[in-house]
Amino acid sequence: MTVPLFVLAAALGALTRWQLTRLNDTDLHLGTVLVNVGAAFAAGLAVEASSTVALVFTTALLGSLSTFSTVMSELANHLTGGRRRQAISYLALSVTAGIAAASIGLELAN
Amino acid sequence: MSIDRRAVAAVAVGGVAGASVRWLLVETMAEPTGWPWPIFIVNLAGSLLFGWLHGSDRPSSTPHWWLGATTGFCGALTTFSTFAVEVATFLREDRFSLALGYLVVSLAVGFGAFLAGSRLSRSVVQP
Repeated sequence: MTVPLFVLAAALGALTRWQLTRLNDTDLHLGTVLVNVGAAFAAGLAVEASSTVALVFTTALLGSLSTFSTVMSELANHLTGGRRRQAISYLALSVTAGIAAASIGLELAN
Repeated sequence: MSIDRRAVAAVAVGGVAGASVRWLLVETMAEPTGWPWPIFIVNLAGSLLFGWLHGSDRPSSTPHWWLGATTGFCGALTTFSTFAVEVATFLREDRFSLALGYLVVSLAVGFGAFLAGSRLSRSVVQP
């Protein structure tokens, strides 16, 4: 039962991210920020989950929903386009909000 | 708005493949007590591959396989949520230098890998 759930959760995560990142017409790529910060909070919250829940929810759904490579791609697009200030703001927002969200999730879970 | 079924399928298949490879790596590697190698490696590899695909992109048409490989596979292979939880956990454990080192090196190496992949594919695919 775990394998079909894993497949379903991973597909759902990637599709949700794809649709939400279509909101990315701003300098800060708020669609990507939203999925990454939301997934970081939920992953912190679920840190004590059982191994099956961890596999399906944290590894498949949240892992697939959030993305690191897209952040790198959006940073590169900003920098090659000469938008250094936007690149720094986007990176700072993603990192600080992501780590803060994960910390709050961990705090609530413990 | 009509739904492009082939694009949906491409993102879904790519996403499942990316998440599966990430899971395999996390499962086969020993659970790290210090530097989180499995996530560091997937984020590095996914950024490199995304850079390669980005560099070889032809803006006039975005084929389905490209969407599946970038948004689907690379997006799901790499993860920000586990990365953020790892950094937050180190902070909670007062392992500040590990938290900062892992954060900065992951970002620097990930970005470097993206640029390297992008430049490599431009020089190989479009000399």
